[in-house]
Amino acid sequence: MELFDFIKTLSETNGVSGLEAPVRELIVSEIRQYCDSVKIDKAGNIIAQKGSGEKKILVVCGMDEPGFIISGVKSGCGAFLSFEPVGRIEAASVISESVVVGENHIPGVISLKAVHLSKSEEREKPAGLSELYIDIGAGSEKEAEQAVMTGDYAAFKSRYRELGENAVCNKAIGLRACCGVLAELLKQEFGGVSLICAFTVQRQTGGRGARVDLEHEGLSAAVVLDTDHTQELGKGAVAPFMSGETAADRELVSRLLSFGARPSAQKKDESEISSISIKGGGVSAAELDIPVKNSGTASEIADKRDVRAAYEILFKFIKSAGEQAAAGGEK
Amino acid sequence: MEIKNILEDLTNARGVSGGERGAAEAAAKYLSEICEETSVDKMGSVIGKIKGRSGKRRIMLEAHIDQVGFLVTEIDENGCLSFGAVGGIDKRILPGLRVRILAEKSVLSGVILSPQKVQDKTPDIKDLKIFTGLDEKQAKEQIRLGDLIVYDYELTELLSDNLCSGAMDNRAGMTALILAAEKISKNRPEDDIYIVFSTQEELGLRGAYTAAHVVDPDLAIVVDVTHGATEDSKDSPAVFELGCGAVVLRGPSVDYEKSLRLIKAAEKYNIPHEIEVAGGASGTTAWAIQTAGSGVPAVLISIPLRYMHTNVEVLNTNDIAAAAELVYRGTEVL
Repeated sequence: MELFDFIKTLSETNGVSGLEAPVRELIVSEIRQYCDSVKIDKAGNIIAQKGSGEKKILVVCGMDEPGFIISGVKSGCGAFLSFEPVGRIEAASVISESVVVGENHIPGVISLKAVHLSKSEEREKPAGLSELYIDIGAGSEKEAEQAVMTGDYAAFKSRYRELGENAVCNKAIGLRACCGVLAELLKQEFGGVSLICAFTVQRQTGGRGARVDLEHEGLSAAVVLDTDHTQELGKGAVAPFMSGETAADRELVSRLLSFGARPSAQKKDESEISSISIKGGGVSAAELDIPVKNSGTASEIADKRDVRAAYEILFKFIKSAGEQAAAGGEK
Repeated sequence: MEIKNILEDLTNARGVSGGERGAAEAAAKYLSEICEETSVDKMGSVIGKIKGRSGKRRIMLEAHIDQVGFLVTEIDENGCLSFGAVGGIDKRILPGLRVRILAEKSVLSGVILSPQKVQDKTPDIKDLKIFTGLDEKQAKEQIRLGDLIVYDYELTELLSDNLCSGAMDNRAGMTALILAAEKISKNRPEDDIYIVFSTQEELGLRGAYTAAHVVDPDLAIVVDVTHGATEDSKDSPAVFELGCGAVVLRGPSVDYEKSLRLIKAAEKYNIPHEIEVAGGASGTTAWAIQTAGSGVPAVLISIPLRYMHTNVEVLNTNDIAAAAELVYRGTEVL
């Protein structure tokens, strides 16, 4: 599939943290033919490998998305589902959103009583997630329980939109764009490089998929591809010197900058580079970010120019690593 | 005609207060298949007439067309839009919502940007922006100040005959009237029946005043929405469970005797119904029509609706069917 068609399809598929299977299957079927090996590890991560050069490069991104888990049924006037968030959900943005619940994708909505029924003081205070319910239209507790089980996942309903010439919008579009970039890299031929792309589970719940062994042995370098909601759209991909409290390998960051990344002193959020560099025995690790807006909402926005930039930076980086190896450059 | 199909058709056609044309045209199409005459008055209200056997009285069946929305108030240097509300909108629902910008040449997608930090106060509408993906030049070429904006929604089926969409307020009432008009026309009414879809209800019931003046009816049966019970509103007064049937109003907004007669008709014909009470203004066009011309006796039938004035309004199709049936009986017994 063409890169942006694949990203669209990925964003339309659900993979709330802990139930990434639909997204995983889609990625595996897209990349399998291009790879030397595609493994699913015990955590549920996809580890795809291609090429047999002496330089071994790992590129990692998350494949999950924020969503909800059903915690019970509340009856009174019909029956409503109570829920807990899975991953980082912007409470303010959840109100008046549509969701799909469980494997049968039962449609539901989350909203507030009509504006006519609330006092203006009430509206000044943002509603918390614990005050909200999912309405699937169930007429009774029994009907709700027949349709949905406690512990079922709910995901934002997919509503892909294009905004102007470059912006794309859907739930989870940022990380799915990252997945699309990795898949596109696996379709290319790189001499002198063994490329490993890991699509990890549970990025939203603390980068947990990236904590397990991801073929770290003998790695030359590792790059985490992620999103950053504090960066401007349309100006390219960003390489931060620090992610949260973790310093990236400065030399590796400089390489990414030399291939067109924009520098940033520090990304606010912690990323997987810390666990990867520890697991990899101190392998040099850095992060590359695709800017997004409305992160953690049903309408996350990314810019195709930034996605393309991220792809090109990584392509050049991997290619040059292979060329260095061929020229007998240092490992 | 299927309730779901009519609703889908009417909710997909857009009609923010003051810009009702799209929805008015969609509704006029239905009326022109049922009525002998269909016209549009100076305020944009659609009026269809079914000629009665004697035509002794004129009965007006009325529902408002317009839906809440927004309008563009500013285009900034990044091509993002500032906007204002048209009608009553809870600002808490706005961050992250998708919208459709009704520009002159095309309908554009937009997304309300969500402030990405935890706030202890709900942001005001004036502090929110719509992201368009356009740069300033493109945005100014395609969008004008004052262009209307609607929520981006589509009709979705929920469990138990419940449907979800934007603009159910009051395309639900219009749907009930279309169904009632179809039945009335088949059964050749005694009186002349005028089906009126009025404009600008959300901005002060304005279209109903003028349409009532045009029709000058002897009686008006108004169909609108009322509040459906939700988890967070079940303790509010005057909320109704979805599926309870047609809700009939009692109080000074409506004619005392005729409302009572309507309730008795519902009982007689086994039409599921509930009684709503309003001590003052009902907030519906019935209030306006009562004092139009030399005064019009009016009754009000409501359809329970959850999350009114949002993009995810939820109703039960059986309540629309009950309202349609009661309107039909009303033309016979009132």
